[in-house]
Amino acid sequence: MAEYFMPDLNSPSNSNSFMRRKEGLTIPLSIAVTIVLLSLTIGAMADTVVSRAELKLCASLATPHLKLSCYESIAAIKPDEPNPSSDIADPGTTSSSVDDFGDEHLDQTDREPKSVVATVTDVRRESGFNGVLYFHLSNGQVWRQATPGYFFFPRDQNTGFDVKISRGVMGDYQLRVDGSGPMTRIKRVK
Amino acid sequence: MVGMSFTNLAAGQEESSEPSTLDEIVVTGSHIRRTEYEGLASGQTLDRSQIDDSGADRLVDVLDDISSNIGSQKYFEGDNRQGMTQFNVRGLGAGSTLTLLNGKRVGNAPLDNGAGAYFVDINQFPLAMVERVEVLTNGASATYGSQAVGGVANIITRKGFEGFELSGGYTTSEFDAYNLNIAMGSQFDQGGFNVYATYYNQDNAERSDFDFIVDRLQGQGDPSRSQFLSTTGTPGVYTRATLDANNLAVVVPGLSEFPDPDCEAAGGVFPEGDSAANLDRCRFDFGDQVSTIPKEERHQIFAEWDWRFSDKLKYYGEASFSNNVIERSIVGQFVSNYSAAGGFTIDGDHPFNFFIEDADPANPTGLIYIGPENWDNSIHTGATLLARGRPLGAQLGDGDELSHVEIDYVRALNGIELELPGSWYLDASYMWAKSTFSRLSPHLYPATSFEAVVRSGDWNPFGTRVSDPTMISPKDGTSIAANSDGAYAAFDQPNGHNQRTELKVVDLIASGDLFETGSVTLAGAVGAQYREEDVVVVPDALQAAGLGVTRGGAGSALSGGQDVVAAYGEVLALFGDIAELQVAVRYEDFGDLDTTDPKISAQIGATESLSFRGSWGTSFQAPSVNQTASVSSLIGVTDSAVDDGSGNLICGPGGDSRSVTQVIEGSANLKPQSSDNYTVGFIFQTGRFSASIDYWNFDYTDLINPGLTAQAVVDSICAGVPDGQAPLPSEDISRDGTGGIVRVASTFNNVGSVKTDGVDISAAYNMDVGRGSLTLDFFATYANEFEVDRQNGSPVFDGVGSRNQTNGFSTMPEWRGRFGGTYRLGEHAANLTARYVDGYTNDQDFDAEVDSWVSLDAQYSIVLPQLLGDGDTSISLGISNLLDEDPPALRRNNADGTLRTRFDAAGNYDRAFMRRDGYDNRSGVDIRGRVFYAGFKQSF
Repeated sequence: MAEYFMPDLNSPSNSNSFMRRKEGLTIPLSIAVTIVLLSLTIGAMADTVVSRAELKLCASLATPHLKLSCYESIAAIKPDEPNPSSDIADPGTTSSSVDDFGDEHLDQTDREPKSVVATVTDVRRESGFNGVLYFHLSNGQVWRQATPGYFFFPRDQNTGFDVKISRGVMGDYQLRVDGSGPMTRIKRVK
Repeated sequence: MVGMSFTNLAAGQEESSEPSTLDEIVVTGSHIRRTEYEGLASGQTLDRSQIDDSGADRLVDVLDDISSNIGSQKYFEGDNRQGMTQFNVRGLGAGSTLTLLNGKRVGNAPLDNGAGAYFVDINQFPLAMVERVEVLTNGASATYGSQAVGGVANIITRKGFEGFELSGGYTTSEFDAYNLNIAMGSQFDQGGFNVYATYYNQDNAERSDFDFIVDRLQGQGDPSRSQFLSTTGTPGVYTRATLDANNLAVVVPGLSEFPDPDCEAAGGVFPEGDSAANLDRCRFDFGDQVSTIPKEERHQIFAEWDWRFSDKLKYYGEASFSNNVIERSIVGQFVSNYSAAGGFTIDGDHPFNFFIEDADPANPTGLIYIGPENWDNSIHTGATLLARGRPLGAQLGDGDELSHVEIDYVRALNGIELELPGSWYLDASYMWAKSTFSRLSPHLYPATSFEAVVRSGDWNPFGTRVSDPTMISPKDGTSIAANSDGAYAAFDQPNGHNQRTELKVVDLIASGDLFETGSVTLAGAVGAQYREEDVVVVPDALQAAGLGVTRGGAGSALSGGQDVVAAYGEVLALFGDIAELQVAVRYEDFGDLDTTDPKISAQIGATESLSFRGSWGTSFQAPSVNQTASVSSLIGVTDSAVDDGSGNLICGPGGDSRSVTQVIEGSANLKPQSSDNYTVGFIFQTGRFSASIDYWNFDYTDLINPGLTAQAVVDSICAGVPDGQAPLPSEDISRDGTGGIVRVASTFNNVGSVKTDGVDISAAYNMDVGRGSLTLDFFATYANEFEVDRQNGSPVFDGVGSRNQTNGFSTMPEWRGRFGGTYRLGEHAANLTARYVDGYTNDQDFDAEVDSWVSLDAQYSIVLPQLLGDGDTSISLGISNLLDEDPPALRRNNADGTLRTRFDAAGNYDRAFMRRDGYDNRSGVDIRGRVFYAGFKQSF
């Protein structure tokens, strides 16, 4: 489970960067990237440096499963990779975008985390009992179910609950409670 | 649209509502985009989770879950349409429901329903592509044009689905079936794509695989009591004859038939319980030579995509292909169109003809059978015979002779969406669809070839060919009783048939907001459509020439087309959140005829949870290409006249039963079938409960009718004529040289009407039970009236609670419904669904009672997260028709209204006490009995 790394949930740039991966992609590239994703991220795992803040964040997570995932993920950050998020800042505003132009199929580093762990603070339903669910995260993000469908989540919403949001093979996003329950496919709306 | 679809909220959760972020969609019944899923229309929806929960592995399974859909034909025993099925909302006819895919037209099936009406074959779509099926349960020609009479079935795909799913299932009942499916899709900034594919394979099942058919129709296993005994046996019967001037056999008047002496030893059957005249006929049991369920193998793929070139321009498309290869077993074929009088000639010197003439007037057959053992060329002289029988029968085996059918569908849709100034959109699309049917059957026996081989002595038509195959003829000392492959090849021909339809549709729609003042918003749409529909029928050359089994040359070649130009407009007014009003009108021009159809719908909210809705409109179904040209089919009739023994026809009982060609001539003067309909109803909706009741009313007139049935045409020539008198002349009946009927003609006309009304009820409730969640859903349709007025002098027919077989409509039970419950807890889900079809009467047989039907389905499924890698694995196990209920028996009554039973009042076995096929193929019941199934889905 070490093929993803843990971004800082409190960093706006980081949380916003998740989902930006697909901008500018074409169909074949999307597929190609998806296919090579796994092997390449494993290759990028070499030497690692772990920050105290990241460890603290992992320690704060609720379940052992998530904690483990979190620790494993921060262990996968490469030392010479300054900040994964800055690498994928808005392409239109950084000089690196010029350098990157046209190299999507050459650049084989994974610019986006394979998954993130987050805390859901509120779940809302669009309408009636057949509407899609909206997951409000503590970091301000809002995700909704891609299609209506039953999804089981912890009953006590007051304290929130942790979820893992990960990427599927087709570039879709999947949400699991505690990172271990059944998944529901989601789309980000905010 | 009232959804009976919903998902569950986790236990203990009171939902807070969330404003919609969904994209604008076009709801069924409108061309105007809107963000709200709820529309004005009354309808019934079945969504993906309900389809999954019901264990459906084919789209046909969905038909029975939509209570407004009644009369879809799912089973086509021994019919070219095997492997097809269709929607039939309100039972107004297969061609009176418009089936759409994502709101756009789909090509028709290559074959019509037998009466010239074309339908969309829903078996062409992979189930994995369906997000939901929305059935608009009132007419909508004002929006969509022709065919949207009883309703509109709109199949909505999972467009926008992101992810990858591999699923499959296996079902076992009287036959086994399995399927494998892929669903995948990805979305990116500029666009996205989805691909769905299905492989489906089902085994065949013969009649005797179904215990209830054996019981009802096959004499509980006793062949002599089977209903499937052909009077044209194999071996057959012989009548003493003389040769006429053309050197062909002519029956000696007054003599009766002599059954083959080796009838039973050669696989023939003598029936029990028949009229005395027929008891001595050597028959042939073809019961298991017909597939009840054919073997099918389907490969289907559907893809959809879109691409946004700019903020203002989006391109979209769909492409699909479906191939269904069907193998259905066929019976040992007839030889027809004999040159001789009603059969074929066997000369006295045929090496295996061991009959001699008997001059004794007390011998009713005038024949004595000497047999090979006692034959002496120096004493015996063979008698000239006229034989009636098939070349091969039981020797062909049960279900071994296969007709190969291939049904292909191709469809492509390409379109653009252009944003215009003022938030208007232009949608332009082109759809092309083509369907082909091709059948290659073995064994067409042209009479002339067959007669030649018999008369040369190369073919032994007698039972000895089977009962004593190694016997050497004592007549010539060289011929062997068994027939050679070479002799068979001399008259055995293949039989092919091809048919196709093609549909091209150009659509232009502009829609957007008109203006907004205060709380009133007005939106509109205008559009134009061009449709071109073509039909081509290429029958087998031998058949068309009347040289095949179909005596009158069934399957006339046909090539025709229809061009339609349409223009339409629609206005939608929103009065805040309180009320909506939709007005639509559409004009369609078919060249020879045109029609304008308006529709008005409204919905008013009385309280936050209660709204009232209603609609009124007119709809139509245009005459099809066939109905303006001609349709021909093979149909069985019983002659109302008999040969008086000297070649003259007289009215009286005992007429010949045979398959004839029925030709229904088209007419250029046909008008469209047209309907006025209205609905009123209400919807009640709170957070966890929703319910709706809608009253519907259709007045459908100018029905396009195939005129009289073939049997009615045949019966008409002896109507009022005393027995023994010559029948009335008829230009609609053609006879061959023997006086036997080969062809019956009628003409399509606009006669008759049907008035129907009733109520649709739906309710859904979601509640917490323990930590889990229970969802209940219910829907039912009540038919109050289905009055068929054929305007032919017969009284108005009350079709509610009737099979409606005599008026060309379908089974219309008074009540039909479904009640289901699903309990979900975490990874687990359990579903129990009950379906009900009310009892009714069989009007074909003096209103015999047909029982109601209840089936109970159970399913359990579990999600195993990350069992194989990152995705989820779902496993489902289920039983359909848990109680193993047989389909209700298609009983028959006697003319006095008493029930026909296995034994009649005199204690004689009544082989035909039950109507074929033993079950009703249009009542919405499942004939499979108890079905076990297992399915899996792997999400990646």
